[in-house]
This record gives sequence, structure tokens and C-alpha cells, in this order.
Amino acid sequence: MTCDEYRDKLLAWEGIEPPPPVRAHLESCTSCAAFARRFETAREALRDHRAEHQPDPYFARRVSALAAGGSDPLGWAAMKLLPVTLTLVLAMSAWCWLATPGPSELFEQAPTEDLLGWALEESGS
Amino acid sequence: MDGVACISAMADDGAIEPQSEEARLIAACRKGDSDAFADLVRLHERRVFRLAGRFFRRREDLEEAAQETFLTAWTKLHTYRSEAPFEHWLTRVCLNCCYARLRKTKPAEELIADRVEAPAADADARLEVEGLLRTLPPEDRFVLLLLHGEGWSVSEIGERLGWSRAKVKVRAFRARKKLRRLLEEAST
Repeated sequence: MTCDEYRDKLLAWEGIEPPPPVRAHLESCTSCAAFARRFETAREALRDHRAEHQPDPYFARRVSALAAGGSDPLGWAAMKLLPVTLTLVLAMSAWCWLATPGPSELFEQAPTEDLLGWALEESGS
Repeated sequence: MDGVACISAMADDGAIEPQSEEARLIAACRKGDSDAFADLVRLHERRVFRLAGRFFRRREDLEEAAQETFLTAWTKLHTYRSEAPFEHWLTRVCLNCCYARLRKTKPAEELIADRVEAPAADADARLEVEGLLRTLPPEDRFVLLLLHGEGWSVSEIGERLGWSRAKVKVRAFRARKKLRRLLEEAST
């Protein structure tokens, strides 16, 4: 195996100690040994990369207030009620359309004669 | 005594099962009960802070990531199937929030380490390596932190993130390749 292949094996190794063939190579190759040390330092840095902050006592309350303000669950509930809402809207639209009299009905209902009489009286003729 | 403390005390006495209480809280949250949601957050906030703390060192970043996790959980709660533990589902939400947030963060803003705890003799090497890690793209740092920080295998990462094994393998391969190049360039 070449140094390149040993380094690939070292990087892909998920255990703690590298496998025996890689360890044997590191003992004989100073360049790969230096690389392995830097890689180990990088692994340590990644392992230690952790913040130890704890949530403050009001965190949960703050988040739940934000969630309630966002009203997304209500939005979700509204989505569940969407078919009912649509049916109601359609039913009301149909009722409005049917209940509204057409031009001929309006003409029949219009107090034409009363208006005409009133207009004639007003004009004094 | 708040809701969660009361639940914990009752669970300790064996009076109730914590999972069934969690299921009750989830059901209440689905109906829009924000008090139940506050209790659910209290049950899981430490776990979420611990996981998000792997990617963000500054308190404000960590808190925002945790907040985003819980708000996403609140809005997407209807997608949670109760066959799997809620904790697993929340872990996935948290990881995805951290990943998205990390990708938006400029490398200079997120410090890989604000203090060096290594022995003085190694401190220089450690600082140098940490500087190199900072230059890695966020996607690569994310995968490396899960592999070497959390110590998860490729399969575990895939399972927890909802990524395919092939996708994790490709990301891990790329990240390791970039790390290798950085480490080699630094030594020349």
C-alpha cells in the first residue's frame, strides 16, 4: 500500500486505535506519523467542540409563547376545517345567487305606478 | 411544582408512565395547547441544548437553534408518527435545524473553539488545527462533528438525519478529503 492509501484508511477509521497495518506503517513513515498526529489533534478538537450552556428557567415558557403567537397549530386546525369552510361558502354563495331576484322580477316588484302617481301629483298636472 | 417536575415525581413513584404523559402532552399540543407545549419543551430542552451545543458555542446561537427546533416541532407535530419515540423525531428536527443554520452562518461567526483546553505543549498545534477546521465549509464541519464529535457511525447519522446511507457516505468522504487536504497543506 502507498502512503496515500494508508492515510485514506486512517481518515476513514471509526475506532479509537488505527488498525495494525496502519500502525505498523506509521512507525516506519515519519511523514505519515506527523499527519496522523495532526489528524488526532483535529479529532480531539472535534470531540471537544461542545458548548455546555443550559437552558434558562424561562426558555420553555418563551418558546411556547412564541409558538402560541405564531398560531400555526390554529392554522393547521383551520386546514382541517377547510372542507367544511368551503362547503359553507359555496352554500351561502348559491343561496345568495338564487335569492337575488332577476331583472324581470325586479321590474314586476317595482312600485312603478305609485312612483308615477307621486311624480304627477308633485308636478301638479 | 411545575408540570414537568410533577410528572417526573409521579413517574418516579411509578404512578404514571413518562411515555404516556409525553403522549398526552403531544396530543394536547396538536390541539393547540401552548401550556402542554411548554411542558413538552421542559422535558426535552436539555437534550436539545446538548445536541445543538455540538455545533454552536455562543449561547445566543445555541439558544436560537434550540428555539428554532422547538418551533419547527410545534408546526410540524402533525407529521410525527407515534410508532417511533418522540425523542428520535425531535433529534432529527434539531439536527436539520442546526444543519440549515450552520449553512447560513459565516465561518468567522461560528468559532470552532473559544478556548484551548489542551496541554500547553500541544496548544499551538491545537490552535492551528482549530483554525484549519474553521475554514472547512459548514456542511463538511457538520458531518465531521457528528462522526468525530458525537462518535456516530455513517448508519447512525443516516438514521438520525433521515438521510440515505449513500448520501452520508458521500458527505463523509468529501469532508474527510477536504480535512486531509487541509492537514497536508498545513504541514508543507
